[in-house]
Amino acid sequence: MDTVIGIDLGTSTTEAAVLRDGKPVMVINFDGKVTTPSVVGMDDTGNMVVGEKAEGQLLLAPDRTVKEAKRLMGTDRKLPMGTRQYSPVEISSMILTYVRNYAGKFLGEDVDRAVISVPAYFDEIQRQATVEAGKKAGFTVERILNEPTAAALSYGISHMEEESNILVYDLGGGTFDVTLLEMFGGVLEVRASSGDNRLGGKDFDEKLTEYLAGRFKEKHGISLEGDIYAMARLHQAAVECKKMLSTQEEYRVLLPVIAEKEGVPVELDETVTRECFEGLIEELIERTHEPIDVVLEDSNMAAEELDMVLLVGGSTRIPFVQRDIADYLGKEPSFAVDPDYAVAQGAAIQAGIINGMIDSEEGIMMTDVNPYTLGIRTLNGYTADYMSVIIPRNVTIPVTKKQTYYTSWDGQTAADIEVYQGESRSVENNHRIGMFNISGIPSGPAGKEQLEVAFSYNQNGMLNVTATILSTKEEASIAIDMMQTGMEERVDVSGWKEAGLAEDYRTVIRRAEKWLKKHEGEEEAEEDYRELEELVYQLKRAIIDGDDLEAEELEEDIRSMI
Amino acid sequence: MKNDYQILGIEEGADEKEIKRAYFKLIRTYSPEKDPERFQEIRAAYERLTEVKEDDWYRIEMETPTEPFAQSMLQQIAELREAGDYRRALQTVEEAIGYFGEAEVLLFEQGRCCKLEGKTGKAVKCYEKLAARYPDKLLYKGYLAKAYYERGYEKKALAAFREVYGLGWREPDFLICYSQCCGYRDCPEEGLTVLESLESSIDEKSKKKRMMDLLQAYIGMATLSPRVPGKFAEVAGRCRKFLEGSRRYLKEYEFELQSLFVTILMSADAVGESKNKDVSAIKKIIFDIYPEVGEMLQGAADMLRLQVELEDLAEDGRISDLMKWSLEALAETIEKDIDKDGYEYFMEMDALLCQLEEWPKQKGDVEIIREEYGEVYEVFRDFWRLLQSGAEQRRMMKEEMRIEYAKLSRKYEGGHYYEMFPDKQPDLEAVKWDSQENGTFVRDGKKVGRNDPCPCGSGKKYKNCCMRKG
Repeated sequence: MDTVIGIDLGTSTTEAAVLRDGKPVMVINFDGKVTTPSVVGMDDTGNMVVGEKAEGQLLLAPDRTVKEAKRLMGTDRKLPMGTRQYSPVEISSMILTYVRNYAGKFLGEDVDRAVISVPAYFDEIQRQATVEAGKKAGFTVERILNEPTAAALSYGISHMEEESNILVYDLGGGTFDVTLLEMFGGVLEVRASSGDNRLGGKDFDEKLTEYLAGRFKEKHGISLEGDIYAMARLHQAAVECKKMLSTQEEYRVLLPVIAEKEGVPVELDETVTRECFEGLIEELIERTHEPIDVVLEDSNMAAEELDMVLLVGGSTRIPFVQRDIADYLGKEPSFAVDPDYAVAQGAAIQAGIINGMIDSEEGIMMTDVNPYTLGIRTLNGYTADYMSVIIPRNVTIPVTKKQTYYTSWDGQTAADIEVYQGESRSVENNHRIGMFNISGIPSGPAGKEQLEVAFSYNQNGMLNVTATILSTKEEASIAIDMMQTGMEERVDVSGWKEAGLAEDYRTVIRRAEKWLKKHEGEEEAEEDYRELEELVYQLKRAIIDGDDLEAEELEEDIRSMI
Repeated sequence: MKNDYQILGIEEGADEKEIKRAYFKLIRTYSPEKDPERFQEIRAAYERLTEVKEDDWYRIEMETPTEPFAQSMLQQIAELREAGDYRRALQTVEEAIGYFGEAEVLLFEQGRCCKLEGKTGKAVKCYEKLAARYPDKLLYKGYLAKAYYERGYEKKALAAFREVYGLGWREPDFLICYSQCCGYRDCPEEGLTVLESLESSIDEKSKKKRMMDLLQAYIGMATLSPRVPGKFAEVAGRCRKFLEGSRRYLKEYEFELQSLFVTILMSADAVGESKNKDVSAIKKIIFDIYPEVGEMLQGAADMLRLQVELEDLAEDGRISDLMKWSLEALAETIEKDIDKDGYEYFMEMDALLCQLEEWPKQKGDVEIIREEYGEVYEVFRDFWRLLQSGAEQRRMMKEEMRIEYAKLSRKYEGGHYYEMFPDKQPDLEAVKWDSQENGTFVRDGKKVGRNDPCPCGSGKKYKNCCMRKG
């Protein structure tokens, strides 16, 4: 049976697990450890290093080291490392390649299929970016699994007989997720999920670093802000301090020679009490309450009906977090799973379900929900941007739902079906994930003809949208693969010089590329840079396609920019 | 067709535990991976059987035909209605009535579907029957009152609303319709009392679920309050408190917030309380939640304020007619792309030319407008500036415009200029026309530039909006 590996690609650390004899087993990396820091760096000789080695050079060469790329997944931000800029997808794929290599060695066979976990609150774009990173690393990504669901699976596999309502509270390095599941007869059913994808342990680190830098400035009148080496050290000290405060009441941060004043070294010596730290993060912790309310609300459940509150994610080690949950839900949280490994283990279990190692009649199984609302753009009394919901969020998948619409104006013979994903009632604020057109509607007065739009969404992330003209039974449809779409195929345009039109546009392209070179990496010019880059790409593409008209327009646009 | 119990393989009327057990057992065999279709069927049946009915107001025992066929038709009706296909839902109800007679539940469905389909007259008939047949069931009396109101029988509706309200009926939608009806029948105080009873019936716990009702109530209060002296400030204060306390729920209610916001601004204007501190606080909350929408709403509110001022101005005896219709014409051109060939441009020139010919007779008008109609003055700033430019400039402007106006006047009708100043009309023979311009006028869509505002109305630049999408 083909091995499918489960990977927890975390903000600060990455772990992997596989199923052996029906039980998840953690995969050991080249350093002989289970946990790999999610850090990528370039060493002195220009080689890429991942994991502990990369983390080790974080202090010495922060400009050649990248961490926390996960927080930028799905954005087009670039991460500088050495002389080049990398996308978050590239960085993540380097980590995954590293996992693939050590797993291959550990298992004695090449592994090319994976289940990768993501925060439940990741949006489709972030999920797609994760799939892409997996592909770049040479994996076939079998499933993107929500982290809290994974954690619940790793709990469920050893508690098959239980009938309980489980709330998974997952506060990791960069994201906060909360998911409510129902366990019954060996089936785990996700009831609802919510979260905050910009809240996690890293925010606590930042608060603490800020505080320490502030105190240092107060005492010595020196600002450390601009000094990346000092800040890197301070940051590391803050992380250490945070960790220590989970077990002890106070911690002394001592950093000799962090700065200089008139040639004399100055040290940072600051004792932080647990109480002081709690004061710093209180506001952040409060932000976890709203998602908890949302999942309780969405699953029609009261806090008293919960049987278990499962803690996952390194940040749940903070005593203040545990106390806050207990106060808010009126229930003591449980430590039944390992907060660091549970997600990878759960991903391995899901992998076992997929490749058949876990029997669906006997073993654990699960049902999942659709994390985002799906609908189409329609007209209503207020606006032409109304999001007409077809599949609401937190509905068990696979699911098929239909809605009927009427023609909007007299003689309407065609309609654009624009498919959106998101929670706002105005499509403007949601993501458009697909569009198609249906024509051949018999002409008639507004409202006479009816159009039925059916959405069907399955657990592999496939969304099928079908529009049917009810009077003629004519159909049009689109299949949107949530695991594939999003990124437009980039064509290789390097051969543009050979194309017939090249002569006409050579000068403008040369000038544009000169401009790009000159402004590379400038922060103020970032937006223009990206736009011009895109335009040049489009122009080259037009030249290759021989589309003179398009090329001419693009040329004009480029000229207006440089 | 199997019913939900049969799909799950259990006896009818089985309790929740049994339903659950059956469901979880079945989906092991028909898992989402192995048999997604069957899974969905099982899932749907399970959901229907365990659904918590949100709307308690419908929970009235109704006579239902017992035939299995009638049951499946009822289910079909509910599905169609939920999917928004009211017409087919109504057809199915009528078909069912044909088979099984006017059973209570069928009449009720008929009323609902008629209402949704916009057949208000027929809806009234349905509820009249139900109310007469079941005088004890307030639900039908309440629905009847709403149906009267929707049909436009406001007087009859008000009496019905009062009666049912007096009997203790408090369905949210009923209260909102009642208050609106009060607005039309000129008893705003009564309307406010009704809305206050709705507001106070919603406690902190049920707030999230009933956000929509609450927002509707506040929109209603904000609309009615300026008509009751001294009431606006109180309503604004309450509204602010409500918004502050429910910030985290508000994001999903963009359109209701929009309308609440605009209503509050308008009402504040009407009672001269634009500077009210609660109003500013409300503004801030909305801007916080929707930075972009906030701005847009402010724009919309300004627009409405402008309209109200223009309406008042049209009634103002001190202002000359010429000024009135000039402003009317100019108002038409606001926020439209002014095309050098277009009708809006023609109308704008028409207004300007007339004004220029008459100047400085209208100086008094301008003074009054500046003093009393701030928004109008603000919006047409350029217009006043043109009028008040130097004599020489005015003369040149007039001459230039006359030429263009003469061209455009061949294409468009409705200008006042030649009517008022016939001597200015050029001798048609004497003007040399560009032969190309004699063709029929087709207003071709202007090509949208990359940096122009997007035609979809999003307010973003075209290149950042539809160009990228499509």
